[in-house]
Amino acid sequence: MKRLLNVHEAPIIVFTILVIVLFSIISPDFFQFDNIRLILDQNISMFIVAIGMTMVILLGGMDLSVGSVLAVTATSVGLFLSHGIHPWIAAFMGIVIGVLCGMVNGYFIAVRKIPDIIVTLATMYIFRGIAVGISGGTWMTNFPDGFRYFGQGTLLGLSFPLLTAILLIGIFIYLLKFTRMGRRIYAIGGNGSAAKLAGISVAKSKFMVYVLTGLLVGVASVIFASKVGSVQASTAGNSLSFEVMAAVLIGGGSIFGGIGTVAGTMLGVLFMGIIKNGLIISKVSPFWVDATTGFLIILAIVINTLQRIRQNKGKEGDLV
Amino acid sequence: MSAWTSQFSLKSNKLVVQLVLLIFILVLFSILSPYFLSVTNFMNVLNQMVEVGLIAIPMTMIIISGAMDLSVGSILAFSAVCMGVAFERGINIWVSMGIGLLAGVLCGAVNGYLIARHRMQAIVVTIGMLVMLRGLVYVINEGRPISGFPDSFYFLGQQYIGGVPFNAIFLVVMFLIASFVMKKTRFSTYVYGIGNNEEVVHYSGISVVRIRFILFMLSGLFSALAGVFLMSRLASAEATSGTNIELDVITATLIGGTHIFGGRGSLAGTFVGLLIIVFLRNGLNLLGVSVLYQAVILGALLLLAVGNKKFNGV
Amino acid sequence: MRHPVLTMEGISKEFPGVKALSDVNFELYPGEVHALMGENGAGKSTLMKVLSGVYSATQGKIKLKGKEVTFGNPLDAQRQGVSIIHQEFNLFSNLSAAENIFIDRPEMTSRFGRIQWSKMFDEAQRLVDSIGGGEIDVRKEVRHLGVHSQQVIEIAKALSFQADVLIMDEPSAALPENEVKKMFEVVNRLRAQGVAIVYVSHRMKEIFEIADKVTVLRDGTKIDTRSIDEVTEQSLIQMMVGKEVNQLYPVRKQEHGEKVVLQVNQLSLDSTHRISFELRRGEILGLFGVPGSGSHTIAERLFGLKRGTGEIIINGTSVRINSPNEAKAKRIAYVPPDRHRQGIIKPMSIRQNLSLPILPELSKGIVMDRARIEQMSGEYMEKLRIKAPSDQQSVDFLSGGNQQKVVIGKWLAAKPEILILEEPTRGVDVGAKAEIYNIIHQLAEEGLSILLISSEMPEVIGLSDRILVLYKGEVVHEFAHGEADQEQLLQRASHPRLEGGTV
Repeated sequence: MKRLLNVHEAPIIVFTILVIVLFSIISPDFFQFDNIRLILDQNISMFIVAIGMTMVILLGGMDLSVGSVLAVTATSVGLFLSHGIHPWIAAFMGIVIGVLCGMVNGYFIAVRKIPDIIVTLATMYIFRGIAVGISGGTWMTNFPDGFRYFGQGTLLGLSFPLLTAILLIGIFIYLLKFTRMGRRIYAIGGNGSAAKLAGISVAKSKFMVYVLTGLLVGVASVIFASKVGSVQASTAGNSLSFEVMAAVLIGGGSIFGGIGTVAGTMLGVLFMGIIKNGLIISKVSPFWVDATTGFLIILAIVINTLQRIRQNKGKEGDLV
Repeated sequence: MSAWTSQFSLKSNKLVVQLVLLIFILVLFSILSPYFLSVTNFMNVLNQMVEVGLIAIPMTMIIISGAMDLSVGSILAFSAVCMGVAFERGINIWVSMGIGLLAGVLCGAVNGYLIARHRMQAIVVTIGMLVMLRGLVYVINEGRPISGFPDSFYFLGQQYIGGVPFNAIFLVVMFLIASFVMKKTRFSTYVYGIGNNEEVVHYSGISVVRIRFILFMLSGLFSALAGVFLMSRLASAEATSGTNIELDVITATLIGGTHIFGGRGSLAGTFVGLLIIVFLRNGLNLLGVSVLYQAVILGALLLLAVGNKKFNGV
Repeated sequence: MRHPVLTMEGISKEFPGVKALSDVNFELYPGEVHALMGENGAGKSTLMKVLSGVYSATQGKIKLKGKEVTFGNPLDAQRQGVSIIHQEFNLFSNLSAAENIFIDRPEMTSRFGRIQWSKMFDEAQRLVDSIGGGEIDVRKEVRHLGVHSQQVIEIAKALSFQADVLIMDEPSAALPENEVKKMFEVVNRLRAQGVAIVYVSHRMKEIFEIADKVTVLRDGTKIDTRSIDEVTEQSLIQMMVGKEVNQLYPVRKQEHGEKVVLQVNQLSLDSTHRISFELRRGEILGLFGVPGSGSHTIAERLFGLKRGTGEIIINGTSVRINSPNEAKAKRIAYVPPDRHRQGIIKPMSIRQNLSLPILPELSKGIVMDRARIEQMSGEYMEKLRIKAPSDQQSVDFLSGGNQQKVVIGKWLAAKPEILILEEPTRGVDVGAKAEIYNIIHQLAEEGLSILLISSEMPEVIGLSDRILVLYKGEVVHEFAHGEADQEQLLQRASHPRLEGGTV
């Protein structure tokens, strides 16, 4: 039992169980198989994007642009499809565009050493503008049937997007736990100067992480476009960046970098998904949902700060 | 005056690049659009720049102190809607305005409490406020616009005095006052000091917490003020008011030579940056460039300003 | 005849304006613990930085196992077998002990690039066990480990690179007394394994307990290398100190006052240590101790930078000081040890720096009174002989000595009653030192009570009316004026449990 409580994700697990119990009491519709599947299904894109954001935050960074990258890639996929390009090729090209966006971020952050907050704030608007520009400001809709598979198809009786998400989660958990590249991310976030002393190239790792994040957003956007069946460039993924950041922090990630896991973040996404779903099912005004997200972000940073204070407590008594 | 400014090497950035850019924009759009170079258009621009300009004042101070406030757009909407709702409940318009301003100050106080007192990351806290307040705005007015204010209220945003919009005069006066504060009061020394070396200021027996707190309160107040002027100008309070305004504000500030890591910058620079942005937007509008393409250009300008040392007056 | 594992020949290192090392030779044999001693500023840390690849020497060469080597950076040095353990550890507190030892090492991955955690844990545990750290669980994150364990991890990391040479910089400074013993066991094991250890320390007692040889540096030159059997504490101290330089210090003309200005009762320094002392009007009270003595903490407590328990009485009234702001209001001023981080705002002008603490007094309402600021800054520029073309100049361009005078000046302008000076002449050239000493002296004559915290013995001895020697949070001895010389002072500070009064 004690070991269980020592698991890094323990608080978020407890919270998640609490809200599940709460909403189950409030509404009988909540704890139903269909509703749970709905929660998973609605948050597939968020799960995938949050993997990337976890790595960014592990580095001690921040990416405000993921929502706009999602809009750009989703719109371009729509555009490719409307030109009669095969769905699989269109999807692939969309992912490539996601990677390119990640490279733009990575270039300015890792190579030009401009603060990540400024770079991603700027690219947030730039990518959004490009998305609206190439869409011509209209809804992208009427995707061909073949494209629907990415968001709604099944493989071996399981939902294709869910499988994709699970696969990606698995890959990145492996990557972060079992490869030098993954461990470098933790090292840089934990102690940047010690990482440099150990011969780790900080710039290379940073660039890589932003590129991978672009890739993941690319995948997420294909699923998103296919699932929704239409894309509006000006609103797609509007508050995605903020929500995903909140999910990472709620899932135990530290805003100062070095601490956090993909598994924790996934629980964070689930937690936020449950709250949104529960609020809607409990017939609370949908307007409250956004307010709650913001409140959760602030709550997450409060928890983060408290954890840091607790960790530093033992060090203050040193005689110098 | 000149001797005084030369003392503050941190503030007297030579705004050469900025002024050249401004003139370039003015000339370019005069050539490209026949409507650009006219008194009416210029007065229009002045009339429309007030909201961004008002928020840019505390934003400049906050960035000089080494922090950032991303919640300004949501505070603007929140206080505007608070004011609108108060007015709808039959409260006098000027009292409602006071309520709106108070709401803004309170939001700033929450930011300040978390950031200054508890040393939380300014960016994350203000992002949280950005999302939360925007949500609350929808909760309060359920997404519908509020209008029907008395005519006397429209004076703030729509009246022209001697051919010059009243709100632009107000903005210039505010800039002058703020500029005075950031040059001649001890508050300015503290703000520049915190931006350059917070620890020294703390070790000099000055409450860094208090200064930071004041800065975020100011940011809340000016965002609310911007909300009031926006409502008066557009004659309605909307839930989407002020969305993305932080891009304009931060870009104006950084183009104006304020250093992203704090410690250097001036309100004069911000004012020039502001003119660059509003004339750029106005010119693009006249050429029929969509608002979102304008965001692309502003974003690029932001990257350019931060990535290019010439803008920092070095 | 054994061959040295490491030879440094004719090492010189120059910084702009300073010659930190000149023509130093140093030899190190396998399986020996070689103590490196010297006063602050003698060049110990520069020499070790050259050896560990942080600096490159201006002149001279380094030979490792007979072959001439150059180290591009610390990692390079580490890979070639020279590791350094700094006073402040370079650990990833968010990672496990094992991973800290083997971070980013290709040999810990399989052919397909998969990190082999069990191999890493086993190897790490083996390494840690081999130096007697058997009680450490290498799977634990470093932030959950104590200081001693962290040090063991650092040593294990060095060993994982097959270190031939291990440099330990003040390894006992951060350790509690009982853990120093454990650290010695680790060092003894390393010695038995044939590792050559450079042991940098101020603590005399430890040197005699652990070292085989000792090299003494003074003013950037090597004085001598001796076997530990050939030296006594006394002879070592004499080697380190050289002849005393007294002409730097002005002679006190009058006695300080009798009135107790500051009385400190049971002031807590950490959870276990409390300290009491008093300071009289016009007195210069020196606080001296080797690293870890708690003297810095005293300053932090008195200036409200750190909170704790205990009583502070100023002029007979008990006061509470919870922030620098409150300390300033109680007329306490503090010249901090690190002027770059805590003393001056570099891009700002001399005038702005001087006026920073007392701007409220120099303002009319909220507006700064330019005339009064100008007059005040002119006054202190002149009083402290700050050399600059104008007080509008940014302090960044001043010499270290003048920067330090600005820090002192900004606090004098606040007209304090109690002045805490910590390392007032660190990084300051000799000429400016003498000037600063004169200033301190003059201030005391004018009735200012001064608490002088310094690691430079000559200045503590030369200036203080009374010296309290601190060791790990306790006053272990008190010297009256003229009673102490450097040898006795060092003896007391580094070897506190000495019986009897004389050396």
